[in-house]
Amino acid sequence: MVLSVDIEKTLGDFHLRVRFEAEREIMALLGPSGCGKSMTLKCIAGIQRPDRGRIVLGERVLFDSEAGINLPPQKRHVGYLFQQYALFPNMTVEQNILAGARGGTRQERRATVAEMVRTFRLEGLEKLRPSQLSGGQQQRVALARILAGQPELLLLDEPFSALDEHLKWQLELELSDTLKAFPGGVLFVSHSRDEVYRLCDTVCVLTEGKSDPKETIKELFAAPATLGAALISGCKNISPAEVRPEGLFCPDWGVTLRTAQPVSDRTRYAGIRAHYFTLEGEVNSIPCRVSRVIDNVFSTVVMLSTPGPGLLRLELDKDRWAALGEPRELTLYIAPEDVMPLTE
Amino acid sequence: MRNRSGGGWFPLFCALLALTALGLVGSNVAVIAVRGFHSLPACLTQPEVRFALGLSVKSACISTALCFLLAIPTAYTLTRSVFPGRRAAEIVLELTMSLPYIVLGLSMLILFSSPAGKWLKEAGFPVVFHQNGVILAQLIVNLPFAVRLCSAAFQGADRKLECVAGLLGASPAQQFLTVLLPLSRNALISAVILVWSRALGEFGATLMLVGVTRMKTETLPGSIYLAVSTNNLDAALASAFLLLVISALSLTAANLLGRTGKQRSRYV
Repeated sequence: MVLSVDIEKTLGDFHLRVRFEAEREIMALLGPSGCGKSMTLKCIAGIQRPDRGRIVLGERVLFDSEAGINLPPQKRHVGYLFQQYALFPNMTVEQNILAGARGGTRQERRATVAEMVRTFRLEGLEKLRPSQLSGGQQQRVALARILAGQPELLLLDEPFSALDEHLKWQLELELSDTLKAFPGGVLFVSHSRDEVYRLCDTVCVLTEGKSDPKETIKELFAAPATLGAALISGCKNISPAEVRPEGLFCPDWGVTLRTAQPVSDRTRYAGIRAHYFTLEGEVNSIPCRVSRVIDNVFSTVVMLSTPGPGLLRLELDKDRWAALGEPRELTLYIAPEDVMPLTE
Repeated sequence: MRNRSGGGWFPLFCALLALTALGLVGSNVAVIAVRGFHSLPACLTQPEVRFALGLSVKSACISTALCFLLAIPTAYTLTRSVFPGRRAAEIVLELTMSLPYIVLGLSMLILFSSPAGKWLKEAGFPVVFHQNGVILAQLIVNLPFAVRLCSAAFQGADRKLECVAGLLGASPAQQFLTVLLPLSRNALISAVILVWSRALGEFGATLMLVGVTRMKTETLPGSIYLAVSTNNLDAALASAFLLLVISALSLTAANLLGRTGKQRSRYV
């Protein structure tokens, strides 16, 4: 075990209740804005103080409310990459990195800086100030500054939010290499399921301050267990559901669907991904009428009215939709393994 | 005159009142500038004016240094720590800013005439009717103002950068010296200049605590007071002109520095 977090914090009427354990892995904290992701990172870093609980990193207790332990940030050995990178504007690139180098003699620290400058391809930029750098260069300096101190844990707070769309891809590739080479654990905060899917091994979904159990990325996208996880993983069709002997009754769509996934008495919702519907099949048929057609960049989104009061969203390739020849009515099928029972 | 809100009588009305305000203030500046300038050469040769100028500059320098020695840690505590009674402390400091300074002088006179003040005098630090009192009066009058300016400077600096320094291993003292001070440097320098020029012009509290004794506790404002009371207008105007020049210079310096840094308003 590398990091174990079990904390509670109340801020006004917001309650944070986060519990997870992370190994030497790249773990995502995924959730919509305002769900408490950044607050969790700040508690781990020691910038915010949880009301109750315990944070343990390796062998070291960083925070324990009962034992009265609360290490200051400078003793936690945790690297924190802020959203806007927070480079010191009054220092050069070199001085910024030097500020991160810890311990050793002056010469050893200088050597660390030189090594980081090489690793992060910052040669020639050493004497510049942060304001003279591009967004990508700033991110590299911030990472170099953090890694110069050899932290045991890396915390990344939405590292791509400060960048233009076309820069993100290149930086994501670079960051992916850096993270894979990092010997300790990594916590990656994001609201983007795509980033998380590409960069992380495991994920902990946060919904309104409450954390779901940790799962692998593949599990989250194949079979999200909770409503929050289904929403953040991009599931577009969700109806309240009732467990009946013949299947899940979904009042919004007016149908009862068979599912291959386990249901329990805590199942409250059913979710279906918009591109998992088929137009032929044997079970789980839903007779629909086309209500609206929306052209996306590479796909067509069709909104369909169902036997119930709710709409279903179907997403398919443009060519496939065109081949159907603007039908007024359409019967959708969904395989039982693609009907996702969800808890609260 | 063009106005973004278009025509109408209201902008014109306000502009007329603005002209009136400018006239009221400007005519005073003009009187000192024109008449003071004429009497300056003659007065500068007088030992009394030179003494007053020397004492004013010396006491303002010492009191400003002491003032920031106290104001910077105070502002750091007020803006960077959470403790019970912080708001109360802020109110006490703000209260004395809006109090007439003669009232502060009166309370200082009582404080330093007390047994504690007499003990200070016997210990070799006389305050009442002494030049030390000039410095103390300037210090106490300016302290809340300096705390306010330093607090504004520290609030203007990005808290996140201090957090980052902490995460990189810097102790609170290192965070203060390597991050907060450099980030608020310009605002602090302009605060020093403003406080210094205010110390130079302090009169009310000084009058109460040390009085104005010719060639002993005579500051520039005190010299104006003495000159007018002996009907020597030329000498008074010369001293006034000196104060005007010094305040113009310090205002310019403070503004220039304030422009490069993220300094708030100078009416704080």
